[in-house]
Amino acid sequence: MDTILEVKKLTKIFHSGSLLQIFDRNKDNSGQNEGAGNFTAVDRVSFSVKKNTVFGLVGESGCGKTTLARSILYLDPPTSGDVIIDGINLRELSSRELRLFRKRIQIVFQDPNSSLNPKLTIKTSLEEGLKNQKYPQNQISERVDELLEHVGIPASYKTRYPHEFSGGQKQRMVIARALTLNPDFLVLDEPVSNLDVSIQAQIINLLMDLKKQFSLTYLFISHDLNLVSYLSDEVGVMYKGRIVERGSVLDIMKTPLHPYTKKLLFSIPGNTEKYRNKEEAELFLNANKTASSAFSRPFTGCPYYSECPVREDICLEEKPELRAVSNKHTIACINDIYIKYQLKASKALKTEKNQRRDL
Amino acid sequence: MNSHEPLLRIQNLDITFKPKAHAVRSLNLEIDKSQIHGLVGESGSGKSVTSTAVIGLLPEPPAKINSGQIIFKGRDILKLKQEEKRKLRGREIAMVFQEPSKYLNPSLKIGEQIREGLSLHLGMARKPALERAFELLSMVGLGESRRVLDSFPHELSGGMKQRAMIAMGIACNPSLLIADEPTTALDVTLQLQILELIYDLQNRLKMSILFISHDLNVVKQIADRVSVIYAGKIVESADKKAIFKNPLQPYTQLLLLSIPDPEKRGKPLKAIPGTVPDAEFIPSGCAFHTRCPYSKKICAEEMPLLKEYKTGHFAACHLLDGNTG
Repeated sequence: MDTILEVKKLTKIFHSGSLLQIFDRNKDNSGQNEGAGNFTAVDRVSFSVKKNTVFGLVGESGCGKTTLARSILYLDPPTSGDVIIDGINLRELSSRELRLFRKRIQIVFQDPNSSLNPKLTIKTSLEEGLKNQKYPQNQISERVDELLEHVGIPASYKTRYPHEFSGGQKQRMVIARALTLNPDFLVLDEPVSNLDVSIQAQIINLLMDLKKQFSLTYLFISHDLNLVSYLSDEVGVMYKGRIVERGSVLDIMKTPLHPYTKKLLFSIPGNTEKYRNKEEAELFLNANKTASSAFSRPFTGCPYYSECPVREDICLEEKPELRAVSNKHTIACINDIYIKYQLKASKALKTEKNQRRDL
Repeated sequence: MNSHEPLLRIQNLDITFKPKAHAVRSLNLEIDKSQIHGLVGESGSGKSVTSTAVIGLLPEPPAKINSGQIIFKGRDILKLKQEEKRKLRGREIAMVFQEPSKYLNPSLKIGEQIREGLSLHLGMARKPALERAFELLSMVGLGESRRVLDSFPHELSGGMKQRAMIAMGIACNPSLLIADEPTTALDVTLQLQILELIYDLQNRLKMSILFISHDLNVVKQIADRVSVIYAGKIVESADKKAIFKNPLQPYTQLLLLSIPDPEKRGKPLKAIPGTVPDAEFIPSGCAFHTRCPYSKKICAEEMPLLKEYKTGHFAACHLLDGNTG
C-alpha cells in the first residue's frame, strides 16, 4: 500500500515573548527555541498514513492534536519539519500552489456551528469551494445536489440557512463541503464530540461509508480512545505535544506499553472491569493523584516523568525518542526493564487465553 | 416517615416553557436513601430542567409548572415559600454543575466561597468555618497545603475547580446531591478521578446522588439505579444491571447498541435514525415512535404509561403490552 501522508519531525512553536521574531525556515530550530515565552505545542512528531486507512490520533485537551492537524494542512505552517502528501512537500509550494493543492486535503472541525457561515444558505456554502477552484459553472448546481445526497440531506433543503438544521445535519453538511472537490485526504478533528449520542453513530457510519465509496484516507482526531480504536487502523497517542506511542490498533488495544497509554485505556469508564487486572489499573491510574500539573515545572527529562509509576532516574536525563519494540509498534520510553516485563506479561496472557480456549 | 418512602419522589411533573415548548412531560422518578441514581438522556431531553425544578431554581416565568409534585422528605418542594426553599438549598439539597468555572465566583477565594454556605446554613463563625472548609477540601483531595483555600478559581486547573465545587456541594452534609454532568467538561483521566471521588464520598457520607449524564458508560460505572429520559419523559427505569443487561424499551436498547466499541470494529454501528425531537414539536403518542424500528399504529396514537414489567423494572412501551395493532 502506498503512503499518502508523511509527517517528518513536525514542530510547532508559539512565540509569546516578543512581538516579532525571524527564523531561518530551512534550519531545524527545534531545541533552540525553548527560551522564555516560547511554547512548543507540537514537538518533533513523525508518522505516516497509508492510502485508504484511518490514522487515529488520541490525546487529552491541550496535548497539541488540533495544532498538529492545522500544521499538517499548512493552515498554521509548522515551525520546522516536513509534511509530504503524495510525494509533494508542502513547504516547497508557493501560497498560490498551496491553495490549489488544498482541494486534495480537507478538514472537518468539531463544532459545525462555527464552521458554517450563518448568513449563507447551504447551497452558497457548498458552492464557494467549487467556484474558487474553477469548477465548470454549468455543473456546480448538479454537484451540490449530488453532495447533499451523499451525506443524506434532501437536495430541496439547500436553500435553507444553517440555523434551520440540527447539529447532526449541520455536521453532515460540513462533511459534504469537505468532499466538494474530491479530496483524497480528510482531517477529522473531533467530528462527533459535539453531537448527541444517538446522532454520533449516524455520523460515524456515514464517514465510514464515504471512505469506502470515495477511497478516502482519514486522520481522525479524538479524545475518545474507544471511538478511535473502533474505526482506526493505526493509532498514535499524544501527550504534551509528542507522540508517545504508535502502533496498529491491535497493538495499542492488546499490548499498550507506554504508561500514559495505559492510563488512558484504564480511564475509560467500564474498562477497569474489562481489563480485569485491578492492581495494574490502580498502579497506572493512581500513580500521581496528588501532584497536579498546576504545580509542576518543566525540566529536561521525559515529560511524563512526574506522573509515571515506573519512572527511573535515567528518565530525567533526556526526552525519550520513539523507538520500535516490534514490527510497527513504537514507543517513547527508555525504561527497558519495564517494557520487557510488559511484553512478557502480554505474551503470557495470550498463551493463557489460548490454553483456556483449547480446554 | 415510613421506611419505604423514598428520599425524593417526583410525580407527574409537567413543565412547559413559553410559548409552547414542552420540556418535561408527566415525569415520575424516585430516589431512595443512599442511592446513586443515574439520569441519562440526550441534550434537550429535560434532564437539567428536572433537576433545577428539584432544587427550586427553575425561573418562573418563562418556565411554568403545570402539575405534579416533588416530594422531598415528606414535603412538596413546589409548595414551599421562597424563604423555605432557600433554607433547603445548599443545606438539604446541593448541586454540582457541569462547568465549574461558570459557577464559581471568580472574585472570591475558594475558602471564602465554601465558608459562605457554612456560615449561612449552619451559623458557623468565620474561623471555624474556614477550618471546616479546609477539612472539606482535604476530603476532595485538595488538602496537601492551604494554598487552594487561599486561591481564586482562575488559579486552579479544571479538575481542581470541579473538586472545589464538590467540596462546596457536600459542605452542609446534604441528603441529596444533584450532579449535573459533573465530568462532561473534563478529560478522560480526570473524569475517572472525579467519578471515584463522588463514589467514595457517597460511601462515606451516605447521601443520595442524582447523577445526570448523557454518557451511558459513565452512568454504568457509578450508578445503582438508572432512569432513561426521552423528550421530557422517563421511558425506562431499573437497577443498573437490569438496564444494561436486559433493556426493555427500544430507545434504551438502541442507545446501548450505538456506542462505538473496539469490539464492534469493521461492522457498522447500529445508529438510531432521525433526530432528537424539539421540545416544541414532540410527536404524538410515544415520542420515540418516529424513530423506532418496531413502531406500530398504536404508538402514534396513545402515550404509553410507565409500568412495572419486572420487579423494580419500569418501562413505557406499547410493545411490552403485546400490542401489535
